[in-house]
Amino acid sequence: MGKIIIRLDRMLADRKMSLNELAEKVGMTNVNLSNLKTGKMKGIRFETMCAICNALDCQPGDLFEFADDD
Amino acid sequence: MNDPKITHRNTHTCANMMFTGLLAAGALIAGLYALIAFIGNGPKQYLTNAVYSFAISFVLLLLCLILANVRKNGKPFSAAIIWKLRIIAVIIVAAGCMPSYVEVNTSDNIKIVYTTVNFQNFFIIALGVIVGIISQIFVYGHKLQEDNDLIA
Repeated sequence: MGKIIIRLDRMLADRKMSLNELAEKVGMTNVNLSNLKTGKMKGIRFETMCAICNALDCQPGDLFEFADDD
Repeated sequence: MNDPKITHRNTHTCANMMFTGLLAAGALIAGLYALIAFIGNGPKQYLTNAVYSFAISFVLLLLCLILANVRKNGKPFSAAIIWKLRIIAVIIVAAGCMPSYVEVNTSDNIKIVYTTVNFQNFFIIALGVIVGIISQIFVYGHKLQEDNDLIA
């Protein structure tokens, strides 16, 4: 079936931004953002995605990647 | 962050909690009064009244704890609240099963005491069943809450 991989760590590293800094900009808790980064979350709201894209100056496609099982 | 909606909700919950707490204290005092009156050779109805008052007091206390939990976590659907609702349901059903003492003075000055189960008992049991059903709805709400918590 495959899965969605979140490339938040790569985006943060490219922009030399810490998770705490992003959490502050997005208005999320560190715990929630860390869970999102590690793929523990089941989903993401458009509102959150919009805030992350705004803070990282990127497109939603830059944050997510589909990985096939094969 | 001081969201006015959250502050308003917390104020309401706090007011409800205090009101419920006061009612629980009132029911407890009424129960103690009835119990003391029964011990002091009062009629047997006082015993029934005392048990009912203690049951009401305990139910209101649990309701107060539920409101405190909601105020603390901001989420009404939790395992602790579901268990409290189930306990409330069991107490109400048990109280409904309890027969009432009735004392009748006959014309010959003979006191007859008997127990009776009437429509009120069935009504109280039905209320308990309704609370039990609500607790099951909360189980569904808890699952939805868990799902929602996993969405960033």
